[in-house]
Amino acid sequence: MDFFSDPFLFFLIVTLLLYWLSPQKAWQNAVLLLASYAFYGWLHPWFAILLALLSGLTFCLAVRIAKQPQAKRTLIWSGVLINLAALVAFKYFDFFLPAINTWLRGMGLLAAGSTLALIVPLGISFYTLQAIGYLVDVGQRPERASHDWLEFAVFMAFFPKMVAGPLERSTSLLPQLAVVRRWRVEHLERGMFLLVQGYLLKMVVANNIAGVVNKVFLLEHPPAVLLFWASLGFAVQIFADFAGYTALARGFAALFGIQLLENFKAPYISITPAEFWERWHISLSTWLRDYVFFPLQRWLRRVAPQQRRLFVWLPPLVTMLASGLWHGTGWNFVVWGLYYGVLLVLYQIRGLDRRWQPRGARRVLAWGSMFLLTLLGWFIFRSPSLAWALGALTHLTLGLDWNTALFVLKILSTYLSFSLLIFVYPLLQRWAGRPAWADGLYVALAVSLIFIYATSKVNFIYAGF
Amino acid sequence: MRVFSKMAVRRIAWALVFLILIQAVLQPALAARYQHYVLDNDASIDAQIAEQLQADQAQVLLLGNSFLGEGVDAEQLATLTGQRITKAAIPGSTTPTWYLLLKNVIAPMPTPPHRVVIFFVDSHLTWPDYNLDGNFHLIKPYATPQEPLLAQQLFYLRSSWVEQAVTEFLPTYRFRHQLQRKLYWLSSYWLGMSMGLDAETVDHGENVWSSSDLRDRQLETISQMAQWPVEHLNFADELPRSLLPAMVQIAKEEHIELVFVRLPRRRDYRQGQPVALEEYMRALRAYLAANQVPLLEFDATPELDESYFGVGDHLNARGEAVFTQLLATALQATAP
Repeated sequence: MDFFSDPFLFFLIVTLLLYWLSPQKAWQNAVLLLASYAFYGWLHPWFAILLALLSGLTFCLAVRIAKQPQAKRTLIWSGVLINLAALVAFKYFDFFLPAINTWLRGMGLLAAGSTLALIVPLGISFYTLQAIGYLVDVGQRPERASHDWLEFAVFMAFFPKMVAGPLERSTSLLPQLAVVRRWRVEHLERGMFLLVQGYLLKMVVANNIAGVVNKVFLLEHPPAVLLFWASLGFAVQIFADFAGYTALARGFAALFGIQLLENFKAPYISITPAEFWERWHISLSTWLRDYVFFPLQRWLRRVAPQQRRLFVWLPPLVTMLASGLWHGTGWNFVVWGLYYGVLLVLYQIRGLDRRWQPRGARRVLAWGSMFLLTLLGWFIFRSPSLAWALGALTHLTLGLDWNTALFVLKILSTYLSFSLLIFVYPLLQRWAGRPAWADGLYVALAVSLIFIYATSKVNFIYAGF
Repeated sequence: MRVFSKMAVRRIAWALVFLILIQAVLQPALAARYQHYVLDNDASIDAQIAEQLQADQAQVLLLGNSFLGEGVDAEQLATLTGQRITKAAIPGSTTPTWYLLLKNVIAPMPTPPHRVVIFFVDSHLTWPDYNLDGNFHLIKPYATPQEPLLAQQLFYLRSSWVEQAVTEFLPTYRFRHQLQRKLYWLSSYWLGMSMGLDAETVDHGENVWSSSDLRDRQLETISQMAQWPVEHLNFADELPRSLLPAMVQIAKEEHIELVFVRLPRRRDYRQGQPVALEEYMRALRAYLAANQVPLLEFDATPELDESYFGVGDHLNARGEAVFTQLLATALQATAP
């Protein structure tokens, strides 16, 4: 059951009716919990069992931390390690499988081929990090521990964010679940705009641009000109795809009177890598900042106070490596993460941090450089494999011929046609005091366009992570 | 706190009003221009294949898609079997096209061919909507205004009431395939056209790159396409929702001998073949045997290794020669 299917529509209507007819907070949360597990269990019953186990364990550990703060270190580490073990076991098992097989065969324990293969539970990358963040928060502020298992279970399983986030914080979502939600027409209005924006970005913009981008990444040795335009297209595609999903998740949550975190703030206007990560996939980057970067920096200050250089380069490298690994098990993701780690270090060494605010031509130059570096990052990310990326770069030709120019013309024509749609709603929002009909017209036109591209065969890039 | 905000209600109301207006305005305009891929057919039937059959005085018609087009040399087959043969290879076509051809073109002929040999891939005989989305042109030339079986098998049995309602009331959804094609054309070529270049010229660049540099990865993609969706592999469920029984029935009534040929596939494609496909094939064999319809299977023929294939599952010239030879022998063995 996904956001584009008939069963989901039926499921959503029934859940909304039951939810808004529930007079008490506990009933509302019970409806959300049942619906979320039905949604998740529909994909695979095993997924729901794993989620229930990890949620139960994290809840119990947090309650124990609140009751026995003196034992918090052991309890936090237990919870962190168990959640991480689940993530590694399910997500990275296949990555290490060839090495494990070789080792087992060497030991004479495996005769031939692997018989082990695990299905990766959808959304595990999101909810395990959410559980870890919650445990660390409770360790720092034990009074934040939730003592209501129902609220906590919904915090972990709330279905709109299940497949690809946003990665929620306990400080944001739990307080909303701790009070009864009253129906207001604004919930419907807010949900409607977000859903329209989400479907438009995904089904119209991302899917159409993907068709052109894929053509270049299917070539064996594309020239530099094509690689540049394909990387640019992928930058638009992945933004529309992921921002589209986030808007849908936030839109469905809004229908229940719940606000999920924002994930994007115009990421491509950034002038430094640090700024980019403050604007791109904000819920993940702030999680990495709070639970990897800062703790590592504090630890280094404690164990090696004299090694100032270590504070500068090690935390960004480790954090971005973790980010790369979180995105996937391919070597291109590892290199992509390290690439951003190196960029962060280099910018920091040059003193180009958050306080750096150049003006005029220097700002344009800074933006242009950062944008090109971002495109290089997306090229690594989108490449079918690291070997392909290296092969493409080592055999690189410029591609200044007539046939390549014609291909670029078609690519550019498609990009301009669809990517401009991204800006319509943000521009509309800037029109202060706009009449209600303007919003209504936007929604009607967008829905008409969405129906042209409606399909039930939809895969989100970030649902694979 | 107020439950109803005036502004929010207005925005929602305006959205609904505009949506209804847009769809109401588009309904007659789009209906006059386009047809639904199953529900709206015109009266014209393309008689080209019937004319060809008559001109050839064909005893055998070979019916299929591009796999047949590139896989069988009709002249060589005619020489080998000593029969007059016409080949109708319609790229992209599957059972809806073949069913319509059989019903509306071949059966009404005064002297139809004695044998119709249909070339198919794995489970496609009971998967009528395969490759049909957006490919109305594959069935339109052979459909009459009334095709109730086609509408039932392709639309009513395969879409939910929500989809049927949306198809009925929202023209931008009903004609989405045609609109997608139009928008694809506009979005792909407007820049080139503004510079005086036609679509064919603009496409030339992409085609040159695709043909010279695509091969390996294209195979990878086609290989992914060779996956077998489990929902189409339950023969008992799929048969009543397919056009196969109707094709068998028409052939019986018109005394046309129907022969099905399962096409050769690359070995690397077959590696991921699910067990369910074997069960499916057992059921298909039993069904065709019960209806006295010969089935010739070449999917795993050892004579055709990887070197006999071109792009995807399409045979190359060498493969075509070998497969034609094998087919001739098999057809002669099943001749009545």
